[in-house]
Amino acid sequence: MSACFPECVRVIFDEYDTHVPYAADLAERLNIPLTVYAPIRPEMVDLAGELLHRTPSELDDEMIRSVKDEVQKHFREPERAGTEVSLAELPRRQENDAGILVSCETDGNHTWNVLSPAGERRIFRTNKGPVLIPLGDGMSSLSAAHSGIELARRIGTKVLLWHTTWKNPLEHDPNPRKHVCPAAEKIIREAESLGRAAGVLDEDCRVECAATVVESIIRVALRSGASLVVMAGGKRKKFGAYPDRVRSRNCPVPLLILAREPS
Amino acid sequence: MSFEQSWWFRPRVVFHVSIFLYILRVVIKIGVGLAFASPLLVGDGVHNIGDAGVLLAAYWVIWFIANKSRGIYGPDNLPALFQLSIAVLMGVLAFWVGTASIEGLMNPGARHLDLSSLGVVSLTMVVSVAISLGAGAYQVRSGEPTLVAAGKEMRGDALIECSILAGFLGEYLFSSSSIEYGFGLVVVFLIGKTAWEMGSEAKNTLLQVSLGEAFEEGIRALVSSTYGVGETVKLETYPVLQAARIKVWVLTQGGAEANEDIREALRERIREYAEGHGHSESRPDVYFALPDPDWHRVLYALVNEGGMCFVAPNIENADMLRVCAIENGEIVSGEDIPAPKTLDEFLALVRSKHIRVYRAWNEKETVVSALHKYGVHYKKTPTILPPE
Repeated sequence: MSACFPECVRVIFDEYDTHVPYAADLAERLNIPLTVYAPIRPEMVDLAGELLHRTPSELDDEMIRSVKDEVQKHFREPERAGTEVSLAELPRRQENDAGILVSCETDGNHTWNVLSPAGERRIFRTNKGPVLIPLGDGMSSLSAAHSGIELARRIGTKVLLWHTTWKNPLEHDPNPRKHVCPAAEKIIREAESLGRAAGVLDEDCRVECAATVVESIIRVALRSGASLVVMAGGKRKKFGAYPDRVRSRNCPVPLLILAREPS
Repeated sequence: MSFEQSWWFRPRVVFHVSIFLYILRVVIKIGVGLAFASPLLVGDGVHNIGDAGVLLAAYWVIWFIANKSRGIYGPDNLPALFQLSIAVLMGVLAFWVGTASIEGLMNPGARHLDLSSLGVVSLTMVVSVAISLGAGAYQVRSGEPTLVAAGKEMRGDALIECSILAGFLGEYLFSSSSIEYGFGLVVVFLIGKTAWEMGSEAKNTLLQVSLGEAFEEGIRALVSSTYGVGETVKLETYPVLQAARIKVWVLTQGGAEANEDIREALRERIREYAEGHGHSESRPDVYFALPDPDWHRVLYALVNEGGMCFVAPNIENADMLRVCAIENGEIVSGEDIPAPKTLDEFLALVRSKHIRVYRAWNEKETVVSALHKYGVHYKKTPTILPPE
């Protein structure tokens, strides 16, 4: 099991500020560098350089400076921002790279920890909403718990653990926690102890007998005012993995989907 | 099965039982009041006839809502009208009892109460108090707004009846009918106070008076803190008697599914907020407004070199133009057209395509100022990467 302790935030540059403001805010709050990718083929630069009577390196420097200026606008303290601009393509993720890629393209980036900002420009709105970590009964949930708890600690908020379970017909207690299967109960207990140890968990895991998993995750996130949902990549199911389905339902809350671990 | 859900508390059953108890109380009070020539007792009995009449009217109101509400968009007002009619009736009664009491005070010694009369009057009032308290609690427990209002009024009756009983006791102990009439004035005050409160509540409901600036500010803050909500366009809050009605119109960028999730979450959050601010019952409704897409076009000057495209330094170097349609701050469609040969052709094209923004890597000042005259802004691209 690997945990996500991001050392860098990555974002692909776009002129219409779709993801850059959120990425800048995340990097600033986590106090880690932001790497911005503006992939430009060298042949393009050579041709443009000829037209502008400049060397490719001069043109590269000018573009990097220009992109950096655009990105710096989104930092509250631009002078302290550690922004790096690369004109190369987004590289393949290294095995130990726990960085976060801020992008709406969650489908094509399963090797990265992808954070979809859902149209938000800042991590927090008026209040510091908690990080919601939906727990399942697999070990990948613990990976999400590790990452979510660490992120919450570093951005200065709490975590909210949540689990949905089937009703156990043999159990008559109305408390949903009593209906949780042993494998999930073990995960929940471990996640609770991790959260308490980090000082970011104020309440026990919320357990529901929800009718649908995907809608319930989104609605609990909205009801609780969560500022971020953290989910493990998860197993592929008939209609797609749960995190992908949460994303494709246009979850209005920013969603971090952790990279799928190699099986 | 919970207590509240039992058959015994269904509105129809509660109505029938209540009407029976009202009539029983009226018969006892008026019968005894006439037998002992007590204007206070007869007056209270008449008051209870009014209550029974209003309750019958309420029964009709509920039947009307259940059977004839199709095409009627203001049924929320019916309980308020009902409550207002109770308040007016109580005001009239207060005036009647007040007049009778003042007349009695001005003619002391006109009447003497003996022990057997006191016994009958006391028994009458004890039975009435028991009916008023029991039936009032029963009606309130039903949860139906009209019955709840009647139940509260019924409980108020018990207070009045206790005052009347105390008046009779005083009249017997001190052989002074002035005490009965003095208590009558206390009853008038109590009836008037209850009537005023009920009338104000009904008026606020009918006029849909806001629940207050602070309450609305709290709702606004709550809505704007909900992810997915762009802006609160409009907010209305007003009481429906004890309950709160909250209507909020929001702008969102999400689709229908996201809006459904936002609606459910907002309703839940608003209900919790209202409960925390003294409105145990509330009915929040969330409506969605479409955001202004701010639709416009942006023109990019491009160089197309053997299929490889990049942003041109200026219009002179460009051999292709890309017209991009922008909606909600995003490119939603694009069209490639050959670049014009002259500045005049370029300006004509900019006008015909209703371009708002022109983008190149390093455009000449003459072109920029010419565009400016047509209301087109030039914006340098940060890189030579063309839009997709």
